[in-house]
Amino acid sequence: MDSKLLEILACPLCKSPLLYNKQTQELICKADRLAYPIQDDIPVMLEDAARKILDEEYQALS
Amino acid sequence: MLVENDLKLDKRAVQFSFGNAAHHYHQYALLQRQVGDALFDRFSAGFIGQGSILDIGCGTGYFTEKILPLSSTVLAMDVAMPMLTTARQGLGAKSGLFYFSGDAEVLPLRSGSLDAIVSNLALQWCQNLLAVFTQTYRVLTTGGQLCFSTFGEATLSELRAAWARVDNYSHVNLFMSKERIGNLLVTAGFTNIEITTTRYQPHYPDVIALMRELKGVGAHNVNQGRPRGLTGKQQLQAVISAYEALASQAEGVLATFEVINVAARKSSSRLRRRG
Repeated sequence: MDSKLLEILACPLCKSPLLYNKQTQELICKADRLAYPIQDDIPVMLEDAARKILDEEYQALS
Repeated sequence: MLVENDLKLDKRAVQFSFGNAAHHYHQYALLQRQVGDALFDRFSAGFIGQGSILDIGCGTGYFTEKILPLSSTVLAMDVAMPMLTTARQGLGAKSGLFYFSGDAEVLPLRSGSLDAIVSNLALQWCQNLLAVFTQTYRVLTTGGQLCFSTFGEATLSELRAAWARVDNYSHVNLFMSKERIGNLLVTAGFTNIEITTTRYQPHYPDVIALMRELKGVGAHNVNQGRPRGLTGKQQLQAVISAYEALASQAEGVLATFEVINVAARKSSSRLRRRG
C-alpha cells in the first residue's frame, strides 16, 4: 500500500482517513467500523464490499 | 448496456447473421477513442502544473494512459474490478499511478485532495449526476478542474424512435441535455463552465450488430419505464424494420451519439464574484 494513495483515499461513507492493516490487506474506517478489502493490490472502496469490524478487532486498533 | 437485456434470449429466434464477434465492439471502441482524444486536447490545454489527476470510469485505461505524462500522481478509478485489472495489465505498474475501485456518487477520497478530475464517456451511467458533481467539487482543491465527456439526449435517437413505433416502453437509456448538466454543475458550486456538443454517427452493418455492440458496453437500462417481460421475436423484427426505415445508408445503418464535453472549475469565492 503506497503512502501517497493512503493519504488521498477516504471512507466513501464518512470521508474519514483510513488505517492500513497489512496483515489482513484491508483499509479500515474506525468511525464506521468498516474494513475495505485490498484485492490484488487494488483497494475496493465500495460499501457493498466492506466487512463489519468485530468489537475485539476494534478494541485492538490503536 | 444501452439497450434492454432481453436481446440475448431471443437471438436464436432471430433469423440473422451476427457477423464476427471482433467487429461488434469495434465501432464503440473507436468512438471512445475519438471522444477521448478530443477530451484530452481540451483538458491538457487548461491543465497547469503537476497536480494529482483522478480518472473516473477509467475502463481499460485508454484515457488514463493519455494523461499519465501530465502528472506525477494519477488515480485510475472504476466501479468494476475486471476493468481495473485489465487497465493495469495494459499500462503496467508505474510510480505515481494508482488503481482503486470506487463509485463516483460516493467518492472515497479526501476533501480538497485533487487538482483535476477527468472522465471519458462514463458519467452517463451514473444515476445521480448531482451527487457526482457535489462529490467531485468536494474532492477538488480550490482552482481545480473538472473535465469530462458524456452522452447527450440525442444519443441513440434512431433506436428510441424505432422502438416508439413498436410499443410504449422505454428500451433505451435516457440521457441528459446539456442545459440540465449545466444547471447541476452550477448547483454543485462549479464556475467557469464551458459546454460543447459533438455529434458522432458511426455506421453498423445492420441493426442487430448495433444492438449487440450496445449490450457489450456494460451498463444497463435504468429507466423507470423499462419493460418487465421479454422482447418477442415479432417485436424485435418490427423494431429492426422501423430502424432500417429511419436510418439506412449504403454502408449499413447509422447511429447517432451526441457527446457533451464539459470543462468547469472550483473557483475561490473571490474569483467567482469577479465573474
